[in-house]
Amino acid sequence: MVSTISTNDIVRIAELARLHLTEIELESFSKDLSEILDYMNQIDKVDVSDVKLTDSTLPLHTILRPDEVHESLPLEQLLSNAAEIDKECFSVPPVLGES
Amino acid sequence: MDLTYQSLAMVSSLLSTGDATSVELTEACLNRIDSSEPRINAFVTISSDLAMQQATNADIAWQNWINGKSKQKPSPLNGVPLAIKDVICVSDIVTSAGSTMLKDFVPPYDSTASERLRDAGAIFLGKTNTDEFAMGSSTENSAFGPTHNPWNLERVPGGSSGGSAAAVSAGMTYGALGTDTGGSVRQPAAMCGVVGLKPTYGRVSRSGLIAFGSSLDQIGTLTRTVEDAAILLQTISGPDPKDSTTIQEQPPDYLEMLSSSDNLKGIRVGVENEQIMGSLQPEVENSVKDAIKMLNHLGAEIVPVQLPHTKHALEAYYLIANAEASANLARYDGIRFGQRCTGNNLWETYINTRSKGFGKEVKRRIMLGTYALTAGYYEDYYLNAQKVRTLVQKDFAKAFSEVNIIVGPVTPTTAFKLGEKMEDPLQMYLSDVFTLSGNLAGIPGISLPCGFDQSGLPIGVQLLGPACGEQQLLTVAHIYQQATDWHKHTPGLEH
Repeated sequence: MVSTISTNDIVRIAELARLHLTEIELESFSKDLSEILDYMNQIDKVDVSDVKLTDSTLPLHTILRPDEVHESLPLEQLLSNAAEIDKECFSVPPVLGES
Repeated sequence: MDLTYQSLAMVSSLLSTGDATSVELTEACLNRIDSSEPRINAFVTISSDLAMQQATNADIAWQNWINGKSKQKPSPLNGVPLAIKDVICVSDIVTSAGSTMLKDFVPPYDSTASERLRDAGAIFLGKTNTDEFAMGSSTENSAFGPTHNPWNLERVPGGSSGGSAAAVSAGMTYGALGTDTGGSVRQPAAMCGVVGLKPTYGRVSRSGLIAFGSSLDQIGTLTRTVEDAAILLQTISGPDPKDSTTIQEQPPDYLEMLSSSDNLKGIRVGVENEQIMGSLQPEVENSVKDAIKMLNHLGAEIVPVQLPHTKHALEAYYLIANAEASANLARYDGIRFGQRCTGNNLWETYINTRSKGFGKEVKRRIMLGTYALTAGYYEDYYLNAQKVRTLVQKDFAKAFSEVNIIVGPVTPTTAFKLGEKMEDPLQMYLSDVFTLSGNLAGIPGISLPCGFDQSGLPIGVQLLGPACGEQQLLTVAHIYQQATDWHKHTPGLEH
């Protein structure tokens, strides 16, 4: 595994994570992430051949509920957390036509 | 009698006999908050009006039962003031997760844990401070300023449930809810000298808990005594149709076994020598060894156990937790709720909102998690981490086939100085090294006060049990606590 992260890597990851980093953040994150990932690379020492992965500690099974109609929360209360509303709707920036 | 440092069980008993009213208890807590909060900053929001209104109603319920008007005995939590960590939604009270992103977010509904407390008649004093989105080990990553340790105001309370631990320790509340993704209940409990219980993954519903690492997150309790932890767990645990990852079996009665014995005869307690002899602060090592001697003195058989893969738990944990966090926090994009910082187009709105709304540690973890999930690194980091997780689980399963409980330290050191580790994230992460393997394995753990260092800072000992083994874990912890008085010390802030 790579042990150091370049500034270009950081810029690319930030873009994927939809974050803009200041010059100072860019510099400190390059250093921090390199150090942290260096440490994390110790995980390489573990022999994991033939080991199954765990994504949950619980025995997974599908739980079904009766398909019943329940009362919804009041519209006014739900819209109270919206950044912007237009009549009874969440108002959001245009999505279509964006690159 | 100073009501504020009593145990939850004690004040519950006073309420049931009419020797104290909920209004008196609530006023006592609010007065303590008034006098100590400027030095501690344990709360993000204090809900005095709601608390007093709930207290009045709770007193009516007790009165009706005491004078025979009602045949239904109120819950032991009816009228008991509590605090709730600010990543757990409480209807109509701002739930910020310690973040600018959610500073104005008012949940339209209760989390299941809050709802169960509300239905039991508990009093909500307010929301406690936390590292932003529960990401941290010191409560310094809160957008609302750090919480100070009641035992030494220059020290951190631990984290991320540092506000809850400090509030219990300082006598501001009789108990509090916290959350534990990698030790965030147990570690601050140890650093503040209180009891911190992290139940089995799935024992308490996560509905209404603001997500960090969904396969690891679990709501837990901070209290003065083990008995208090059992009372709270009894109320908040159990299956929930709103969370399909809750354990479907009904929880057992956690209280009935507590006082069934005063000794530990027949209990096998595992000790991992390698871990104990590690790089612990000498006073922590000595106190934990003393606690093990006490368990032995009480009749437990001490047995060496091997957990060979837990030394890689830290790597596996931070890779998995951050990967899950980066996905969970993608929802904060300024579109549906939370802060929005409008840009010239949708892309800019996303970027502006997230760059201004998140603090440094949250950004750092989103970056780490995103990296670990990126094409080319996913197999090496994320998948390997999940395989190591399997090995950690198997280690515990094997150990618990031979012992009932595993005992060890909670933290390598006592509470460190504010600011000491803020510029060194890796050192900060290492303060969770003894707790996070419990989250990877999904097993329950409890942190108990077991001593003080030379400067008077509390030390904790950790007991871990097998999945769904809370009943025995609490019983062993309770018997230890009956034989010791570490939990009876208070920081003396009121003087």
